[in-house]
Amino acid sequence: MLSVFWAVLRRDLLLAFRQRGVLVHHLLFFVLVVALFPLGTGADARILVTVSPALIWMAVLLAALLSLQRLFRPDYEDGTLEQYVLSPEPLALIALAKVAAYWLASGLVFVMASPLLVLLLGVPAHAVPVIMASLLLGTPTLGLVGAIGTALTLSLPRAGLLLSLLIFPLYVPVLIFGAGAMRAAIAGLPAAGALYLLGALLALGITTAPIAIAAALKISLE
Amino acid sequence: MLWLHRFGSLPYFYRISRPIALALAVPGVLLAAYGVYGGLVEAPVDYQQGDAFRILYIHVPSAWLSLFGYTSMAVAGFVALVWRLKLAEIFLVAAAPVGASFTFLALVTGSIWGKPMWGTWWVWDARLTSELILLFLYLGVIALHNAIESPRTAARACSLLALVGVINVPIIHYSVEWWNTLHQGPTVTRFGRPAMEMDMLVPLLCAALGFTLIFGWLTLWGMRAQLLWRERRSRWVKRLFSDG
Amino acid sequence: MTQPRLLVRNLSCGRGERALFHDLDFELRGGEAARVRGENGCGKTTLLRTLAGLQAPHAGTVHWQSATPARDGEPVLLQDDLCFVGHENALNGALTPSENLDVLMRLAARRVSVRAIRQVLAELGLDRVAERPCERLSAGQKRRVSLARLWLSEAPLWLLDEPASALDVESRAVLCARIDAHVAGGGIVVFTTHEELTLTHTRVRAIELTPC
Repeated sequence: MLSVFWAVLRRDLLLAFRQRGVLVHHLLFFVLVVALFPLGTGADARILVTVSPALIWMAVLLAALLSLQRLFRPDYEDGTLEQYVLSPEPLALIALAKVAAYWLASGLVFVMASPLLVLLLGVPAHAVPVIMASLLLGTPTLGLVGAIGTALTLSLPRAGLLLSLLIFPLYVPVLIFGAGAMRAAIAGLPAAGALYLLGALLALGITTAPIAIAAALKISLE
Repeated sequence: MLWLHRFGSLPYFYRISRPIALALAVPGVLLAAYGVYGGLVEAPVDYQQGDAFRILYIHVPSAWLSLFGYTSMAVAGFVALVWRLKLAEIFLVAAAPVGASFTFLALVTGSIWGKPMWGTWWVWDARLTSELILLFLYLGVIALHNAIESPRTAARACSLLALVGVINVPIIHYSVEWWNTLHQGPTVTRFGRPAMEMDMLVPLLCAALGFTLIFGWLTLWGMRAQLLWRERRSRWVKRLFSDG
Repeated sequence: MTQPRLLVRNLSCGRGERALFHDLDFELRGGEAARVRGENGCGKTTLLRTLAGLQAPHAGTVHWQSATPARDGEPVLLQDDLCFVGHENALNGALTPSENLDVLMRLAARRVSVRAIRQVLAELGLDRVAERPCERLSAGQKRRVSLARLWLSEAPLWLLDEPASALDVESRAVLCARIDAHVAGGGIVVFTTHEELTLTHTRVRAIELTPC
């Protein structure tokens, strides 16, 4: 049973590697959103530090929204998705493998890029570990929840705006705890509480979201 | 079970839903009217809030129905997904706009109430914010239903979305509350809740019950329309309209 | 082992709410093949997808072997015993034929060695393109890669949607020989086709779909 998980994970990582141009685009998007922001607010360091948690997390949400649209779309179009559904292996496990590969190829990149960006915004260096931890715990949940939304809108060719309406309300808890942890860290307060809650959300997501994704994929194929 | 099967039959449902809807509408409107009148006119002025509290007679029932509506949609969604019961799908689709309307009403009355209390129309108060996100959850269901062409697929997709949403409602509410207490500080004073006077409580309960009946009535009416549309090619609907 | 058997009773299917055909009945046993016939848009693909369990019928049942029958109006699940070659090839353009087949066989819960995949690709005359991304293959080559699953799978039931599309004469003959062998070995094949497939050893039954 686990062999199918590894097979799908390996396949998607291989695909991500072969199409690494797309990854670079997502990363550039993430960097650009953050880099353009000071041009709108002015370069006042205090303002930038104050808004940096919101800014980083909004950039992550938007980048997730953009990249998630391609999560199942190629498989849907070339017929591979039918083979997932027909597989005797549990569809939820296949879905989990797809999300895991997606996160390794995009979420993890954001986590890696975040220290540089927050330092650009003038965030004190002592907050960086907590910021990375919050992204590390929060972005997989975004992938899991977002995958439910993309799976539901799979039969619609241009679902971008609809997708945002479906998944952004569900992103509220991650946004709150993620940005909350960041803010606490910047202020030098303990951020463990928020990080634990992010971890709890992730645990809930890993255990329940794949089932919902599987159901959504079946509905979209009908 | 036989009863359930009979109720699941669509022509039967169409026939009996009309008297049921009327049976909900009449007491619903009467109770709501009594409750709102009692609240707006009869109830004594509150010593803390003055007359502003009177809008709660609309706000509280609406807020209750926004939650009740979404929960009932999720229950219907579960039934629709597991047992493929068509009526449950239709209920979910019909309840969404009604629930969204009550949520909107709760938001509007909430902010009107907030104007004299807080001095502005909108405050990022925990309950108002949760209510706003709940409205987005409703709108998501409605938008998804409109976007998918096949009614069957649309209803099943909405069922799943409502289920996912309902799991998230308490999480969202809790997280918003957490966020609010952390960053807002105690600017929003919760009014101490002394035991409500009977002559204030009774109209409120009547209004809540009346609004709930009205919710049922409107949803049933929406279900009838939805049912006719989805079954428009079936024999029983055609016969229904060729007779008249 | 019981003889495989596909039993279809009162099957009504449609796309979305639109009904395509009503009350279809047929039965296929191991060693039989059937071709789904009917004009364009009458539900041939829908029938195959319903048999596969990808979509629910409007009414009626599909029984597979002696497994518990699905309830009225529910999709069947035959997973383990099924090889479904759909309209699309199920190949990712950025992966090579052997990579694609490797994943497809793992999805089918079949352990197939890389060497076995290579061998089948060679038999189908695809050895020269085996390590080339699928997007650079011709339509006929892609179809052949997708059909290579029939040589690797051990499923008794095959559902083939236009298997011969884009195939040249020789590949078509190879495909026919494979179907013949499968049926002779006690398997069941249900297919749709526009091209004439001449199966020399198999008597092909016709499933006529009449639009309603």
